[in-house]
Parts: sequence; structure tokens; C-alpha cells
Amino acid sequence: MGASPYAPVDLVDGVLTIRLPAAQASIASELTTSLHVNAMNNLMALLSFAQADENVNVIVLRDEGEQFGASLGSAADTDPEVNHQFVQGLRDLPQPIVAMVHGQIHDQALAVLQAFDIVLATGQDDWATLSFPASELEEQTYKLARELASKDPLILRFTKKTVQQVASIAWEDILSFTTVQQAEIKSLQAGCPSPRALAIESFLAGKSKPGAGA
Amino acid sequence: MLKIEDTEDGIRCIGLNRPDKRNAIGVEMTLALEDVLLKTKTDSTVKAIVFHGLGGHFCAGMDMKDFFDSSTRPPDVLLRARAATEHWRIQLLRQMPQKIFTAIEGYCLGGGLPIVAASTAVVAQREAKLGLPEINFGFVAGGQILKAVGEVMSPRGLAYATLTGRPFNAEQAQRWGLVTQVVESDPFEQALILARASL
Repeated sequence: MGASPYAPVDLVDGVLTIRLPAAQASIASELTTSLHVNAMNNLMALLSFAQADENVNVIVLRDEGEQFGASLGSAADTDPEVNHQFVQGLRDLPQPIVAMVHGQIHDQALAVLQAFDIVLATGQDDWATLSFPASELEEQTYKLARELASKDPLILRFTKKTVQQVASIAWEDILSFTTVQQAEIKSLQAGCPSPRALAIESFLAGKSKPGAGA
Repeated sequence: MLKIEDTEDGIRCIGLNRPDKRNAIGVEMTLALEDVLLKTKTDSTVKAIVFHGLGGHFCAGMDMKDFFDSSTRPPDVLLRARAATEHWRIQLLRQMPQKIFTAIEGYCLGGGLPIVAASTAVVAQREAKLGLPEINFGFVAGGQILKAVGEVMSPRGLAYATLTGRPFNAEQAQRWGLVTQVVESDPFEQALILARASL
């Protein structure tokens, strides 16, 4: 996966980090907006690569500027369709996606933030899943991301999909949904050692405590 | 498996009573839950229900030894128990004419959460640990559990709990909508007070 001048990336231990560019307020506003539309398009291209990359288990999006999403905000103002596609692209990612939000958030980026599974922030705002002091945010974000990346990727993706879908499934159909999903997972795991059987065996032998998160 | 007590003013207290297994729901307990909910549903003398756990924990979820890969239960017993489980957690809990109140201390995990989600009010002891640890066991939490929990819990809290499998405390559960009140003292006593106030 190649780096982009507007969206530097790195992939370490299954965690793909995408850095949003800082908003460039010193440049004329039309040029700023143009740069930001380019940045958003670059991001969308990156996300489509990430979606298909089996080495990417988790995606972390962070902002190099002082206001999260400020660089996306002006693009969204100008082209709502691009913004809509971007949010949808985030939602459709099979991997969990984590936002690391330092400080404030740009108004227009609030809609973008809704597409994230987990939001770690320095503020106590409603949109944050968990809040940390600024000095701990990066450490906590990557601790969580590495933890997610260490889980069975298939189960991680199916868990995300289930969380996204259950609200729209009627109660009378929920059991069928679960049955079909379990069959699909079983089929995809066929011929491989079952992580589930191993985890349960380890738990029953007293070697692990998955309920306690360990 | 259950300790059932009725108060004079019409409150049925249903205590999960398998303390050596942290009240994990095994075959016998799930059959007992179906039975008590079926009977309570049509009992006009019962005005409210209070769920609680005995022995310092509410519920450690479904019993892995009974229900999953290494189960030694006969297939027909397992089939009946699974049907009973889906009956009480998908249908009965949501159909009960009485208001449900739940008291949580210790662990409250996975398969115990549909009871919490069906409750009008949930009182949790400050040190309580809630969670959806299924992913740590290598499987996806059942859609029926996530749907129930998702009806009361914030979407982002639900995503965090299911994707990480990390337990979370009572205060966090309150912020995410799963718990109504956090107490230092006995949550069962407080749940009873709330149940009485609802009569």
C-alpha cells in the first residue's frame, strides 16, 4: 500500500494507521477546499485497499491538526456527495475502525465520526466511547488497537457486522440470522483448528479467564 | 438453580442460585428460568419481578461446559435446553406484563445480559463487572443477545464491549445506558425499593 502526501499511513502488527492532514488555514479557502477534497478522495482510495487487505485487522484514524476532521470539514461543505461516500466507505469497512480524537472536533466531522466503531478522545463528549488524559490517549488507543488486532480476524469481522446489523433485524428473524451466521463461520473455518474449541478448552482447564478479558 | 421468593406486596424475587459457578446459566437453570417466567406471566398476584444473583455475582453468562463444544449433555437434553433459552430470552422476557428490576453485583456477562436489557431499572453495585466476552472465546456473541442489549445500550458502547471483549464497570455501564443506578451498598435492597415504588 503506497503512502499519500495527504494521508500518511503505516501498518504495524495488523494495525493500519491513517493520519488526516492538518487543516491549512493559511492557504486561500478555495485552494484549501480543493486540497481537502483531494485528501478525502485519497482516503477513500486507501480505505478500499485496506478493505481488501488481509493484513489489516484494525484501522486507526488520527488527525495531525488541532481539530479532528477539520481537513475533511471543508470538503464536506463543498461536496456533500463526496462526504456521504466517505462516511459510507468507513461504515462498510469489515475491520473495526477506531478514531483517536485529540481535543476539539470540527462540526462537519461529527457525521464522519458516527461511522467509527470506537472513538477514544480527550474530551468527555457524548460521541466518545472512552476518554483519557491527553498524555495517555495515544498509548491507550494503540493498546486497544493491538488488542483488537490480536483477535481472530474472522470473528472480529463477523462481530462488527453483527453489531451493525442486529438493530435492523426483526425479533422474529433474529434466531435465523444467528443460525445462518454460525453456519457461515463454520464453513469459513472448515479445515482449520477451531479457535473457539481451543479457547473453551483453555478456559475449562483454568488456563485463561476470557470473561475477565484475559 | 433459582431461589424464588414472593413478598406480601406482590413482588417476585428470582435469585440465580448457582454460586459455585458464579450463576452461569446451565441446562437446569435455563429450564427453570423458562418455567418461572411462564408461570409468572399469567400470575395476576405478581406485580413486579426482581432478578438478582446469590453468592456475590449476578451471572457469568451461559455455562460453557453445558452448552458449547465440550458439552457432555445428551443431544436431546441440549436441544430442549437451547429451545428453552431462546424462548425466555427472545420472547418471555419481552412479553412479561410485570415490570422487571435487576440487581447486579460481581460479574454480569453475556447470556445474563438479556435479563438486564429487559429491565425497567437496573441497580449495580459499584464494583460490578459487565461484559460481552464471547470474542475472547473465539466466537461471535449471539444476535439475540446483541439485539436485546443494543435496545438499551449506546451503539458505541456495544461495539466496544463486543469487539474488545473487555469487561466494563458499573459507572461505564450507566454512561452507556445499561445500568440505571450505581450503589455502594446491596443492589438487591435498592432494586426492591424501586420495584415497590413502581407498584
